[in-house]
Amino acid sequence: MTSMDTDELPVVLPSTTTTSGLTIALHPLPILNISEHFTRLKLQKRQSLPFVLGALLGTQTGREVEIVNTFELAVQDDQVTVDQEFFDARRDQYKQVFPSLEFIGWYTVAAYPTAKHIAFHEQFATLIPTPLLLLLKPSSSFAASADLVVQTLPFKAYEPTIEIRDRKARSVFIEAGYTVETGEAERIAVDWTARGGSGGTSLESHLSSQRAAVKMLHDRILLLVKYVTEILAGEAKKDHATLRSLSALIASLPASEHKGFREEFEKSTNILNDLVDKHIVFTAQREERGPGAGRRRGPRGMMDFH
Amino acid sequence: MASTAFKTFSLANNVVEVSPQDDIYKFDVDADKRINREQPWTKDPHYFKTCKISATALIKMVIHARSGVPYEIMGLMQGKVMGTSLVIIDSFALPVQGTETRVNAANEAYEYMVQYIEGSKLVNRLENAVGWYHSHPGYGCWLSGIDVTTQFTNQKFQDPFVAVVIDPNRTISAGKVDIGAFRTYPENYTPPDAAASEYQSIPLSKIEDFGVHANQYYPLEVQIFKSSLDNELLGLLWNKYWINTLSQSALISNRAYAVSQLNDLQQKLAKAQSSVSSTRAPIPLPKDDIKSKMLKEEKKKEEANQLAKSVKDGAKIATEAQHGLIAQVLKDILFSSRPGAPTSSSVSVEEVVDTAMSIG
Repeated sequence: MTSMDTDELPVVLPSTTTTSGLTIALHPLPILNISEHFTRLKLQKRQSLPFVLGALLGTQTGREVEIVNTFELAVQDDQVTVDQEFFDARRDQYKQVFPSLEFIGWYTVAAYPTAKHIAFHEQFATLIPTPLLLLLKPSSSFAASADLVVQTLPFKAYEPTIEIRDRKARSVFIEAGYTVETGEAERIAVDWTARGGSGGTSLESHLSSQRAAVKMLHDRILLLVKYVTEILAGEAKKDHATLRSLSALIASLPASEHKGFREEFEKSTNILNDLVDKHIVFTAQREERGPGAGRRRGPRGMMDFH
Repeated sequence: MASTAFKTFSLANNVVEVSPQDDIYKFDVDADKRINREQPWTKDPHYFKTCKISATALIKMVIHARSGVPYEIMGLMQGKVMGTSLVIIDSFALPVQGTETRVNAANEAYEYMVQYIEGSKLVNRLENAVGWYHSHPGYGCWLSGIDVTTQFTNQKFQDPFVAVVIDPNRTISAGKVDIGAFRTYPENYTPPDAAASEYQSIPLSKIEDFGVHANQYYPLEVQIFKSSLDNELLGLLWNKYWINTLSQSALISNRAYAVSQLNDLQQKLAKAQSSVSSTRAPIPLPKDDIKSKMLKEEKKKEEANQLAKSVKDGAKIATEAQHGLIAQVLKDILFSSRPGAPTSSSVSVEEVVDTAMSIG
């Protein structure tokens, strides 16, 4: 295999012929880590596209991969060999504090994978069989588009594989789709920093994040309704897969009319309301709480103490 | 025309567009050396006023804290001094647990710390260690006696240094990050005016430790900052995880913590109740006994305070329960109601929200 060959042939297999079978879940923390790494290097080296390299940490069971954390990597002076010593030391350090996380791949900043990335891939492939590649696509503006569906994260994931062509094997990448998953603590922290980390009463922030989520749901539903109306009017093409999932969704609503579920739900609602009533008793000493407390007492009569 | 010319100029000369928001990420070696030579904080015990934390550092610390529950975890923070602010750019976890009983937990991780910081230089992380963080799972953000001692030592030998505390349990139940940043006063320094800090609920088992040392340190204002790229990514991220906001239920994930909160409240109430029953109406006293009468009044005020505090604790528990309930009811209405049929749920969202508001 001559290096000329790999320069001419594209390093990524077209997604029409092969698709990755991996299910990738990407957490917000790696996304923000990579962003910080990139911003930092841009400022320190005063380049608009500095060379960024790092390792991905997470878990992989069968075809399910979860990318949970990252750390930076160093290269030796030749700019193409990974500093193995640093990598080993850092990987061990992360193992001590997060024993469940493994090294599962690497990341860099580029528009698309090239032969240079294959060279790095070969180095990582000596450590684990199929190291994933996560690319951050640099661009001057992430084009604020009015159509919310078009706004996607500028990250792409690639799975390495071997392509056999003309009796020669070479490493290539195939693009893999990913979803964003978060843990609850992570979601709250990300939400809070997105909102600037300020206070406001906790009720306000809770309600406003619920409202934002409901609005998103509403927007998405409107989009679906628009699509279906266009099909009925003969303007859009019928996509049977989409229509099937739509009807499955509608059939599954209401989410639960099951008697057992409703009983449990009402029981837990009642317990929580009792809790609240009792606390209103505490604060009922102040007269101005009259109207609020009064309304609560109405349907339930006087509170009883169990 | 002008913009193309500018673009060509930028490309040719590798001009980097840096938004002013990102300036804070630049590490100015000279400025850092200068301020570490001048050390203005040695002249004023109240020098540092704010603690600015980067988005990535914060999220890493919260995740680390949550992953360690029920143990206390700890780690270090790297950053710099800017004016009267301690700026935290990054954080990393240390392989130690449970700082409450071991003052020198940091020593165990010494080798790890040194190696990590040395290694950081190789990947252009030039900032020095400027603080430590640890978690108080479920009992709030403040410094315990041991924490205060540790921080005294830190400020003596490693200044500038800040102590950050995170409560991962309260973070989840309140739906926002529970975090505090603190600086201790030097020994033998009495703060001029112990400013009334925002009340927070401390479990009975810890309240003595909290009270004894509360005047030996002061809180810094915590501010979060993020880069311009962070901002764009966060906006795009929201497009993906709004689903989790609707589907996750704080009631279920924090069940054990909610139960322990209720237990604690019950104990506090029992304590308040027993002390109330033992006070009697003040008997008219002769003039020279006025002093002891004042003492008795002080005590009565204290007990009344105990009850008032329990009220606040109760209100907090109720509010958090209400938040969880609001989320559940919303989901029920969204996904379970049939068009045209009256809402079968016995409680509507307005009622729940009203109650939550009346608690305040």
